[in-house]
Amino acid sequence: MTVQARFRRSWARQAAGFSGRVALIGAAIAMGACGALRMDMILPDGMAAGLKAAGSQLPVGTEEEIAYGGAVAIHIVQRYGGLDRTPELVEYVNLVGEALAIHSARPELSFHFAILNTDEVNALSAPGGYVFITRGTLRACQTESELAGILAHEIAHITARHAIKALQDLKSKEAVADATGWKSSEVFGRLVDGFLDGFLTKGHPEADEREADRVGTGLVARVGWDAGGLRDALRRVAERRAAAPTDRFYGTHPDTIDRMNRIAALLPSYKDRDGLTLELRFRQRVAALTTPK
Amino acid sequence: MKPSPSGEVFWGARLQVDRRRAGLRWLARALAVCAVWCAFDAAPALAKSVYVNTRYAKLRAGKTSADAEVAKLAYGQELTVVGEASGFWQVRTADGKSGWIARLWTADSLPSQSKVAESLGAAARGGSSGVAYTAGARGLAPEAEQYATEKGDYGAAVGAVKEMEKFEIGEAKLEAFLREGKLGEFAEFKAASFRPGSGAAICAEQGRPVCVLRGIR
Repeated sequence: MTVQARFRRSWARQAAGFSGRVALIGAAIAMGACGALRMDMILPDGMAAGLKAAGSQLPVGTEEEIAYGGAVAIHIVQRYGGLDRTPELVEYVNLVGEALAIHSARPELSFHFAILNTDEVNALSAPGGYVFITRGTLRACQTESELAGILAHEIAHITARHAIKALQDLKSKEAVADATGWKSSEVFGRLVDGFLDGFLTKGHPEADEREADRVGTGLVARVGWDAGGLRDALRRVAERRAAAPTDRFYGTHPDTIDRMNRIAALLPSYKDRDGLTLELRFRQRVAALTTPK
Repeated sequence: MKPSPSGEVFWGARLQVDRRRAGLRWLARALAVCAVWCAFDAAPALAKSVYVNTRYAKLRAGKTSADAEVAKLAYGQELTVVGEASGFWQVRTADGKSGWIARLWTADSLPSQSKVAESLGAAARGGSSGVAYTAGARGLAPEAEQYATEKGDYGAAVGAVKEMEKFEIGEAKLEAFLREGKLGEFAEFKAASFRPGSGAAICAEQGRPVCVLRGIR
Protein backbone atom coordinates (compact mmCIF):
# COMPACT_ATOMS: atom_id res chain seq x y z
CA MET A 1 0.00 0.00 0.00
CA THR A 2 1.37 3.41 -0.91
CA VAL A 3 1.93 6.13 1.65
CA GLN A 4 -0.83 8.20 0.05
CA ALA A 5 -3.16 5.28 0.23
CA ARG A 6 -2.23 4.71 3.89
CA PHE A 7 -2.78 8.45 4.54
CA ARG A 8 -6.11 8.40 2.77
CA ARG A 9 -7.18 5.36 4.79
CA SER A 10 -5.94 6.98 7.98
CA TRP A 11 -7.84 10.19 7.19
CA ALA A 12 -10.92 8.23 6.32
CA ARG A 13 -10.69 6.36 9.64
CA GLN A 14 -10.30 9.68 11.47
CA ALA A 15 -13.22 11.18 9.60
CA ALA A 16 -15.36 8.12 10.28
CA GLY A 17 -14.28 8.12 13.92
CA PHE A 18 -15.07 11.81 14.25
CA SER A 19 -18.52 11.38 12.68
CA GLY A 20 -19.14 8.43 14.95
CA ARG A 21 -18.10 10.39 18.01
CA VAL A 22 -20.22 13.38 16.99
CA ALA A 23 -23.16 11.07 16.40
CA LEU A 24 -22.64 9.42 19.78
CA ILE A 25 -22.33 12.77 21.56
CA GLY A 26 -25.35 14.10 19.71
CA ALA A 27 -27.34 11.06 20.69
CA ALA A 28 -26.19 11.43 24.28
CA ILE A 29 -27.26 15.08 24.34
CA ALA A 30 -30.57 14.21 22.79
CA MET A 31 -31.09 11.36 25.27
CA GLY A 32 -30.07 13.58 28.15
CA ALA A 33 -32.52 16.26 27.08
CA CYS A 34 -35.32 13.82 26.39
CA GLY A 35 -34.61 11.82 29.52
CA ALA A 36 -35.76 14.76 31.59
CA LEU A 37 -39.17 14.68 29.92
CA ARG A 38 -41.84 12.22 30.83
CA MET A 39 -44.72 11.19 28.65
CA ASP A 40 -47.25 12.67 31.03
CA MET A 41 -45.45 16.02 30.92
CA ILE A 42 -45.68 16.37 27.18
CA LEU A 43 -48.99 14.69 26.45
CA PRO A 44 -52.42 15.51 27.78
CA ASP A 45 -53.51 13.05 30.46
CA GLY A 46 -56.05 11.33 28.29
CA MET A 47 -53.61 10.82 25.44
CA ALA A 48 -50.87 9.46 27.68
CA ALA A 49 -53.35 7.14 29.33
CA GLY A 50 -54.60 6.06 25.94
CA LEU A 51 -51.12 5.23 24.77
CA LYS A 52 -50.43 3.26 27.91
CA ALA A 53 -53.70 1.43 27.47
CA ALA A 54 -53.04 0.52 23.87
CA GLY A 55 -52.38 -3.17 23.64
CA SER A 56 -52.54 -3.65 27.40
CA GLN A 57 -55.02 -3.15 30.22
CA LEU A 58 -57.37 -0.22 30.54
CA PRO A 59 -55.85 2.04 33.18
CA VAL A 60 -57.66 2.75 36.43
CA GLY A 61 -58.03 6.50 36.85
CA THR A 62 -58.29 8.35 40.15
CA GLU A 63 -62.09 8.70 40.04
CA GLU A 64 -62.41 4.98 39.43
CA GLU A 65 -59.88 4.20 42.15
CA ILE A 66 -61.80 6.29 44.68
CA ALA A 67 -65.06 4.59 43.70
CA TYR A 68 -63.58 1.11 44.26
CA GLY A 69 -62.05 2.38 47.49
CA GLY A 70 -65.40 3.61 48.77
CA ALA A 71 -67.01 0.23 48.13
CA VAL A 72 -64.12 -1.67 49.73
CA ALA A 73 -64.18 0.72 52.71
CA ILE A 74 -67.91 0.09 53.23
CA HIS A 75 -67.27 -3.65 53.15
CA ILE A 76 -64.42 -3.37 55.66
CA VAL A 77 -66.51 -1.30 58.08
CA GLN A 78 -69.37 -3.79 57.76
CA ARG A 79 -67.10 -6.77 58.30
CA TYR A 80 -65.36 -5.31 61.35
CA GLY A 81 -68.49 -4.14 63.15
CA GLY A 82 -68.44 -0.39 62.52
CA LEU A 83 -66.20 2.40 63.74
CA ASP A 84 -64.93 3.45 67.13
CA ARG A 85 -66.08 7.07 67.33
CA THR A 86 -64.22 8.14 70.49
CA PRO A 87 -63.60 11.78 69.47
CA GLU A 88 -60.10 12.23 70.89
CA LEU A 89 -58.92 8.95 69.37
CA VAL A 90 -60.43 9.71 65.98
CA GLU A 91 -58.78 13.11 65.97
CA TYR A 92 -55.42 11.74 67.05
CA VAL A 93 -55.37 8.98 64.44
CA ASN A 94 -56.35 11.51 61.78
CA LEU A 95 -53.62 13.92 62.87
CA VAL A 96 -50.93 11.23 62.68
CA GLY A 97 -52.38 9.97 59.41
CA GLU A 98 -52.61 13.39 57.77
CA ALA A 99 -49.09 14.27 58.90
CA LEU A 100 -47.97 11.19 56.96
CA ALA A 101 -50.31 11.73 54.02
CA ILE A 102 -49.11 15.24 53.20
CA HIS A 103 -45.57 13.91 53.02
CA SER A 104 -46.50 10.82 51.02
CA ALA A 105 -45.90 10.10 47.36
CA ARG A 106 -49.53 11.00 46.58
CA PRO A 107 -50.21 14.15 48.58
CA GLU A 108 -52.81 15.04 45.98
CA LEU A 109 -55.16 12.37 47.32
CA SER A 110 -57.58 13.06 50.16
CA PHE A 111 -56.82 10.46 52.80
CA HIS A 112 -59.35 9.39 55.44
CA PHE A 113 -58.49 7.56 58.65
CA ALA A 114 -60.77 5.65 60.97
CA ILE A 115 -60.65 3.22 63.90
CA LEU A 116 -62.45 -0.09 63.48
CA ASN A 117 -64.55 -1.05 66.45
CA THR A 118 -62.80 -4.29 67.33
CA ASP A 119 -60.09 -5.40 69.72
CA GLU A 120 -58.67 -7.64 67.04
CA VAL A 121 -55.23 -6.55 65.81
CA ASN A 122 -55.24 -5.47 62.19
CA ALA A 123 -54.92 -2.52 59.87
CA LEU A 124 -56.30 -2.22 56.37
CA SER A 125 -56.52 0.21 53.53
CA ALA A 126 -58.76 0.64 50.55
CA PRO A 127 -57.81 2.27 47.25
CA GLY A 128 -58.23 6.01 46.91
CA GLY A 129 -57.15 6.96 50.44
CA TYR A 130 -59.18 5.00 53.03
CA VAL A 131 -57.08 3.78 55.96
CA PHE A 132 -58.32 1.73 58.90
CA ILE A 133 -56.67 0.68 62.13
CA THR A 134 -58.42 -1.47 64.69
CA ARG A 135 -58.81 -0.39 68.28
CA GLY A 136 -56.85 -3.51 69.23
CA THR A 137 -53.89 -2.33 67.17
CA LEU A 138 -54.08 1.14 68.68
CA ARG A 139 -54.02 -0.46 72.10
CA ALA A 140 -51.06 -2.66 71.15
CA CYS A 141 -48.97 0.38 70.16
CA GLN A 142 -46.91 2.14 72.79
CA THR A 143 -45.47 5.09 70.92
CA GLU A 144 -46.59 7.56 68.27
CA SER A 145 -43.88 6.32 65.92
CA GLU A 146 -45.37 2.82 66.12
CA LEU A 147 -48.83 4.12 65.27
CA ALA A 148 -47.27 6.18 62.46
CA GLY A 149 -45.48 3.08 61.20
CA ILE A 150 -48.69 1.11 60.87
CA LEU A 151 -50.57 3.94 59.17
CA ALA A 152 -47.60 4.60 56.87
CA HIS A 153 -47.60 0.94 55.81
CA GLU A 154 -51.26 1.22 54.82
CA ILE A 155 -50.69 4.57 53.10
CA ALA A 156 -47.88 2.93 51.13
CA HIS A 157 -50.30 0.29 49.80
CA ILE A 158 -52.42 3.16 48.47
CA THR A 159 -49.62 5.29 47.07
CA ALA A 160 -48.11 2.25 45.34
CA ARG A 161 -51.58 1.37 44.00
CA HIS A 162 -51.22 -2.25 45.12
CA ALA A 163 -54.96 -2.92 45.16
CA ILE A 164 -55.32 -1.27 41.77
CA LYS A 165 -53.00 -3.82 40.22
CA ALA A 166 -55.35 -6.57 41.34
CA LEU A 167 -58.40 -4.63 40.17
CA GLN A 168 -56.75 -4.02 36.82
CA ASP A 169 -56.22 -7.75 36.37
CA LEU A 170 -59.85 -8.35 37.24
CA LYS A 171 -60.87 -5.71 34.71
CA SER A 172 -58.97 -7.57 32.04
CA LYS A 173 -60.70 -10.81 32.96
CA GLU A 174 -64.04 -9.01 32.89
CA ALA A 175 -63.08 -7.75 29.43
CA VAL A 176 -64.09 -4.19 30.29
CA ALA A 177 -63.67 -2.65 26.87
CA ASP A 178 -64.23 1.07 27.28
CA ALA A 179 -63.12 3.72 29.72
CA THR A 180 -66.48 4.01 31.49
CA GLY A 181 -67.37 0.30 31.43
CA TRP A 182 -66.53 0.01 35.13
CA LYS A 183 -69.43 2.33 36.02
CA SER A 184 -72.00 -0.33 35.17
CA SER A 185 -73.31 -1.52 38.53
CA GLU A 186 -73.02 -5.16 37.49
CA VAL A 187 -69.43 -4.84 36.35
CA PHE A 188 -68.52 -2.67 39.34
CA GLY A 189 -70.05 -5.18 41.75
CA ARG A 190 -68.21 -8.11 40.19
CA LEU A 191 -64.90 -6.25 40.24
CA VAL A 192 -65.23 -5.23 43.90
CA ASP A 193 -66.43 -8.66 44.99
CA GLY A 194 -63.62 -10.32 43.05
CA PHE A 195 -61.08 -8.07 44.71
CA LEU A 196 -62.52 -8.58 48.18
CA ASP A 197 -62.49 -12.37 47.80
CA GLY A 198 -58.71 -12.37 47.55
CA PHE A 199 -57.92 -9.32 49.65
CA LEU A 200 -59.88 -10.19 52.78
CA THR A 201 -58.61 -13.75 52.97
CA LYS A 202 -55.05 -13.58 51.64
CA GLY A 203 -54.20 -9.88 51.83
CA HIS A 204 -51.77 -8.30 49.41
CA PRO A 205 -49.06 -10.38 47.71
CA GLU A 206 -45.96 -10.77 49.87
CA ALA A 207 -43.87 -8.60 47.56
CA ASP A 208 -46.40 -5.77 47.94
CA GLU A 209 -46.34 -6.15 51.72
CA ARG A 210 -42.56 -5.85 51.69
CA GLU A 211 -42.73 -2.82 49.47
CA ALA A 212 -45.28 -1.24 51.81
CA ASP A 213 -42.94 -1.94 54.76
CA ARG A 214 -40.04 -0.31 52.93
CA VAL A 215 -41.98 2.72 51.68
CA GLY A 216 -43.81 3.10 54.98
CA THR A 217 -40.59 3.05 56.97
CA GLY A 218 -39.15 5.73 54.70
CA LEU A 219 -42.26 7.86 55.10
CA VAL A 220 -42.16 7.64 58.89
CA ALA A 221 -38.52 8.74 58.86
CA ARG A 222 -39.24 11.51 56.37
CA VAL A 223 -41.84 13.13 58.61
CA GLY A 224 -39.49 12.90 61.55
CA TRP A 225 -40.61 9.96 63.65
CA ASP A 226 -38.29 7.14 64.64
CA ALA A 227 -37.78 5.08 61.48
CA GLY A 228 -38.10 1.91 63.54
CA GLY A 229 -41.75 2.66 64.32
CA LEU A 230 -43.21 0.01 62.05
CA ARG A 231 -40.70 -2.61 63.15
CA ASP A 232 -41.52 -1.91 66.80
CA ALA A 233 -45.25 -2.07 66.09
CA LEU A 234 -44.77 -5.45 64.43
CA ARG A 235 -42.92 -6.62 67.50
CA ARG A 236 -45.97 -5.73 69.61
CA VAL A 237 -48.14 -7.62 67.16
CA ALA A 238 -45.85 -10.64 67.28
CA GLU A 239 -45.93 -10.59 71.07
CA ARG A 240 -49.70 -10.50 70.97
CA ARG A 241 -50.01 -13.40 68.57
CA ALA A 242 -49.71 -16.03 71.27
CA ALA A 243 -52.62 -14.47 73.12
CA ALA A 244 -54.82 -13.90 70.09
CA PRO A 245 -53.88 -16.37 67.34
CA THR A 246 -57.23 -16.00 65.59
CA ASP A 247 -56.72 -12.33 64.67
CA ARG A 248 -57.25 -11.93 60.94
CA PHE A 249 -53.99 -9.98 60.72
CA TYR A 250 -51.95 -13.17 60.72
CA GLY A 251 -53.82 -14.56 57.74
CA THR A 252 -53.44 -11.44 55.65
CA HIS A 253 -49.87 -10.43 56.45
CA PRO A 254 -46.63 -12.35 55.88
CA ASP A 255 -44.45 -13.69 58.65
CA THR A 256 -43.98 -10.92 61.19
CA ILE A 257 -40.47 -11.89 62.29
CA ASP A 258 -39.24 -11.93 58.71
CA ARG A 259 -40.78 -8.51 58.14
CA MET A 260 -39.14 -7.12 61.27
CA ASN A 261 -35.76 -8.41 60.13
CA ARG A 262 -36.19 -6.88 56.69
CA ILE A 263 -37.17 -3.51 58.16
CA ALA A 264 -34.26 -3.67 60.62
CA ALA A 265 -31.93 -4.03 57.64
CA LEU A 266 -33.28 -0.73 56.26
CA LEU A 267 -32.80 1.26 59.43
CA PRO A 268 -29.06 2.05 59.12
CA SER A 269 -29.91 4.22 56.10
CA TYR A 270 -31.93 6.47 58.44
CA LYS A 271 -29.40 6.54 61.25
CA ASP A 272 -28.60 10.23 60.66
CA ARG A 273 -32.23 11.17 61.24
CA ASP A 274 -32.50 10.25 64.90
CA GLY A 275 -36.28 10.46 64.71
CA LEU A 276 -38.72 10.80 67.57
CA THR A 277 -40.88 8.13 69.17
CA LEU A 278 -43.12 10.71 70.90
CA GLU A 279 -44.11 8.12 73.46
CA LEU A 280 -45.34 10.69 75.99
CA ARG A 281 -47.71 12.36 73.54
CA PHE A 282 -49.03 8.98 72.47
CA ARG A 283 -49.80 8.03 76.05
CA GLN A 284 -51.56 11.32 76.70
CA ARG A 285 -53.63 11.12 73.53
CA VAL A 286 -54.74 7.53 73.81
CA ALA A 287 -55.58 7.70 77.48
CA ALA A 288 -59.17 6.98 76.47
CA LEU A 289 -58.03 3.49 75.58
CA THR A 290 -56.91 2.60 79.07
CA THR A 291 -60.33 1.20 79.84
CA PRO A 292 -61.10 -1.65 77.47
CA LYS A 293 -64.56 -1.43 75.96
CA MET B 1 2.80 7.53 -10.16
CA LYS B 2 5.25 5.94 -7.76
CA PRO B 3 6.72 8.56 -5.35
CA SER B 4 10.47 8.94 -5.07
CA PRO B 5 12.27 8.37 -1.73
CA SER B 6 12.31 12.12 -1.22
CA GLY B 7 8.63 12.08 -2.05
CA GLU B 8 8.13 9.52 0.74
CA VAL B 9 9.77 11.93 3.18
CA PHE B 10 7.64 14.76 1.86
CA TRP B 11 4.45 12.71 2.15
CA GLY B 12 5.50 11.46 5.59
CA ALA B 13 6.06 15.04 6.84
CA ARG B 14 2.83 16.17 5.26
CA LEU B 15 1.05 13.26 6.88
CA GLN B 16 2.35 14.25 10.32
CA VAL B 17 1.31 17.89 9.83
CA ASP B 18 -2.11 16.85 8.59
CA ARG B 19 -2.55 14.48 11.50
CA ARG B 20 -1.67 17.28 13.93
CA ARG B 21 -4.12 19.59 12.18
CA ALA B 22 -6.78 16.89 12.19
CA GLY B 23 -6.11 16.36 15.89
CA LEU B 24 -6.45 20.07 16.58
CA ARG B 25 -9.64 20.24 14.54
CA TRP B 26 -11.01 17.29 16.51
CA LEU B 27 -10.04 19.00 19.78
CA ALA B 28 -11.71 22.25 18.71
CA ARG B 29 -14.87 20.44 17.70
CA ALA B 30 -14.92 18.44 20.92
CA LEU B 31 -14.53 21.66 22.91
CA ALA B 32 -17.34 23.26 20.94
CA VAL B 33 -19.61 20.28 21.64
CA CYS B 34 -18.64 20.40 25.31
CA ALA B 35 -19.40 24.12 25.41
CA VAL B 36 -22.88 23.51 23.99
CA TRP B 37 -23.38 20.60 26.37
CA CYS B 38 -22.24 22.63 29.35
CA ALA B 39 -24.49 25.52 28.32
CA PHE B 40 -27.47 23.11 28.34
CA ASP B 41 -26.36 21.53 31.57
CA ALA B 42 -25.47 24.74 33.37
CA ALA B 43 -28.71 26.51 32.60
CA PRO B 44 -30.75 24.74 35.29
CA ALA B 45 -27.96 25.17 37.83
CA LEU B 46 -28.03 28.91 37.32
CA ALA B 47 -31.80 29.09 37.70
CA LYS B 48 -32.80 25.92 39.52
CA SER B 49 -36.48 25.24 39.78
CA VAL B 50 -38.21 23.16 42.40
CA TYR B 51 -41.87 22.18 42.61
CA VAL B 52 -44.22 22.10 45.57
CA ASN B 53 -44.99 18.46 46.37
CA THR B 54 -47.60 18.83 49.09
CA ARG B 55 -50.90 20.62 49.47
CA TYR B 56 -49.69 22.03 52.77
CA ALA B 57 -46.68 24.13 51.75
CA LYS B 58 -46.13 27.65 52.98
CA LEU B 59 -43.78 30.35 51.86
CA ARG B 60 -42.18 31.82 54.94
CA ALA B 61 -40.47 35.14 55.54
CA GLY B 62 -37.35 33.50 56.97
CA LYS B 63 -35.44 30.28 56.89
CA THR B 64 -37.14 28.63 59.82
CA SER B 65 -40.60 27.21 60.31
CA ALA B 66 -41.13 29.78 63.06
CA ASP B 67 -41.02 32.66 60.58
CA ALA B 68 -44.19 34.35 59.41
CA GLU B 69 -46.18 32.94 56.54
CA VAL B 70 -45.83 34.98 53.35
CA ALA B 71 -48.13 32.94 51.15
CA LYS B 72 -49.72 29.55 50.71
CA LEU B 73 -48.29 27.57 47.83
CA ALA B 74 -50.22 25.36 45.46
CA TYR B 75 -49.35 21.72 44.84
CA GLY B 76 -47.14 21.52 41.75
CA GLN B 77 -46.29 25.25 41.81
CA GLU B 78 -42.91 26.05 40.29
CA LEU B 79 -40.46 28.00 42.44
CA THR B 80 -37.16 29.51 41.39
CA VAL B 81 -34.40 28.83 43.87
CA VAL B 82 -32.34 31.90 44.68
CA GLY B 83 -30.61 30.70 47.80
CA GLU B 84 -30.44 27.96 50.38
CA ALA B 85 -30.00 27.34 54.06
CA SER B 86 -30.09 24.24 56.20
CA GLY B 87 -33.26 22.41 55.29
CA PHE B 88 -34.77 25.35 53.43
CA TRP B 89 -34.74 26.80 49.92
CA GLN B 90 -34.93 30.54 49.41
CA VAL B 91 -37.29 30.88 46.47
CA ARG B 92 -39.18 33.29 44.25
CA THR B 93 -42.64 32.56 42.87
CA ALA B 94 -43.75 33.36 39.33
CA ASP B 95 -45.78 36.30 40.67
CA GLY B 96 -42.74 37.80 42.35
CA LYS B 97 -43.17 36.72 45.97
CA SER B 98 -39.97 35.81 47.76
CA GLY B 99 -39.45 33.70 50.83
CA TRP B 100 -38.32 30.36 52.19
CA ILE B 101 -39.78 26.87 51.95
CA ALA B 102 -38.78 23.63 53.69
CA ARG B 103 -36.98 21.39 51.20
CA LEU B 104 -39.08 18.55 52.52
CA TRP B 105 -42.03 20.04 50.68
CA THR B 106 -40.39 20.40 47.31
CA ALA B 107 -39.41 18.04 44.52
CA ASP B 108 -36.93 18.50 41.71
CA SER B 109 -39.41 17.45 39.07
CA LEU B 110 -42.87 18.60 38.15
CA PRO B 111 -45.65 16.37 39.50
CA SER B 112 -47.67 14.73 36.74
CA GLN B 113 -50.59 16.70 35.34
CA SER B 114 -53.00 14.13 36.70
CA LYS B 115 -51.66 14.61 40.22
CA VAL B 116 -52.00 18.38 39.98
CA ALA B 117 -55.53 18.02 38.59
CA GLU B 118 -56.44 15.63 41.40
CA SER B 119 -55.02 18.03 43.95
CA LEU B 120 -57.14 20.86 42.58
CA GLY B 121 -60.13 18.54 42.61
CA ALA B 122 -59.50 17.54 46.20
CA ALA B 123 -59.13 21.17 47.22
CA ALA B 124 -62.37 22.05 45.46
CA ARG B 125 -64.16 19.14 47.12
CA GLY B 126 -62.81 20.25 50.45
CA GLY B 127 -64.27 23.67 49.81
CA SER B 128 -61.31 25.61 51.11
CA SER B 129 -59.13 28.28 49.60
CA GLY B 130 -57.93 25.73 47.09
CA VAL B 131 -54.29 26.50 47.54
CA ALA B 132 -53.36 24.70 50.68
CA TYR B 133 -53.95 21.53 52.57
CA THR B 134 -57.56 20.39 52.82
CA ALA B 135 -58.43 17.06 54.25
CA GLY B 136 -61.65 16.67 52.75
CA ALA B 137 -65.19 15.77 52.38
CA ARG B 138 -65.23 14.58 48.83
CA GLY B 139 -68.33 12.44 49.06
CA LEU B 140 -68.74 8.75 48.57
CA ALA B 141 -68.74 7.77 44.89
CA PRO B 142 -72.25 6.95 43.61
CA GLU B 143 -70.99 3.60 42.28
CA ALA B 144 -69.82 2.65 45.78
CA GLU B 145 -73.12 3.67 47.33
CA GLN B 146 -75.05 1.75 44.69
CA TYR B 147 -72.87 -1.30 45.39
CA ALA B 148 -73.73 -1.07 49.08
CA THR B 149 -77.42 -0.63 48.36
CA GLU B 150 -77.44 -3.80 46.27
CA LYS B 151 -75.71 -5.69 49.08
CA GLY B 152 -78.66 -4.99 51.35
CA ASP B 153 -77.96 -4.41 55.01
CA TYR B 154 -75.00 -2.04 54.58
CA GLY B 155 -76.72 1.21 55.60
CA ALA B 156 -74.78 1.68 58.83
CA ALA B 157 -71.48 1.01 57.10
CA VAL B 158 -72.28 3.52 54.36
CA GLY B 159 -73.09 6.10 57.02
CA ALA B 160 -69.82 5.33 58.83
CA VAL B 161 -67.72 5.77 55.67
CA LYS B 162 -69.52 9.02 54.87
CA GLU B 163 -68.78 10.20 58.39
CA MET B 164 -65.14 9.18 57.94
CA GLU B 165 -64.98 11.24 54.76
CA LYS B 166 -66.53 14.29 56.35
CA PHE B 167 -64.07 14.36 59.20
CA GLU B 168 -61.68 17.23 58.69
CA ILE B 169 -58.47 18.14 60.41
CA GLY B 170 -58.11 21.88 59.99
CA GLU B 171 -54.88 23.28 58.70
CA ALA B 172 -54.23 25.15 61.95
CA LYS B 173 -54.70 22.01 64.02
CA LEU B 174 -52.41 19.95 61.82
CA GLU B 175 -49.77 22.65 61.91
CA ALA B 176 -49.99 22.85 65.70
CA PHE B 177 -49.66 19.05 65.89
CA LEU B 178 -46.56 19.05 63.70
CA ARG B 179 -45.08 21.98 65.58
CA GLU B 180 -45.71 20.39 68.98
CA GLY B 181 -44.13 17.13 67.85
CA LYS B 182 -41.27 18.87 66.04
CA LEU B 183 -42.20 17.00 62.91
CA GLY B 184 -42.08 17.88 59.24
CA GLU B 185 -40.87 21.40 58.66
CA PHE B 186 -40.95 22.08 62.42
CA ALA B 187 -37.95 19.98 63.27
CA GLU B 188 -35.72 22.22 65.30
CA PHE B 189 -31.98 22.25 65.37
CA LYS B 190 -29.15 24.30 66.67
CA ALA B 191 -27.35 25.99 63.81
CA ALA B 192 -24.11 25.76 65.74
CA SER B 193 -24.26 21.99 65.83
CA PHE B 194 -25.12 21.58 62.17
CA ARG B 195 -22.58 19.39 60.46
CA PRO B 196 -22.28 20.54 56.85
CA GLY B 197 -22.58 17.67 54.45
CA SER B 198 -23.74 15.24 57.05
CA GLY B 199 -27.38 15.84 56.28
CA ALA B 200 -28.12 16.08 59.95
CA ALA B 201 -28.06 18.63 62.69
CA ILE B 202 -28.58 17.63 66.23
CA CYS B 203 -30.81 19.78 68.33
CA ALA B 204 -31.10 19.70 72.03
CA GLU B 205 -34.24 19.48 74.04
CA GLN B 206 -34.08 19.12 77.78
CA GLY B 207 -30.38 18.62 77.56
CA ARG B 208 -30.36 15.60 75.27
CA PRO B 209 -30.21 15.26 71.52
CA VAL B 210 -33.72 14.54 70.38
CA CYS B 211 -34.14 15.62 66.82
CA VAL B 212 -32.33 16.28 63.63
CA LEU B 213 -32.65 18.65 60.80
CA ARG B 214 -34.96 17.06 58.33
CA GLY B 215 -35.56 17.64 54.70
CA ILE B 216 -31.99 17.17 53.57
CA ARG B 217 -32.02 14.75 50.71
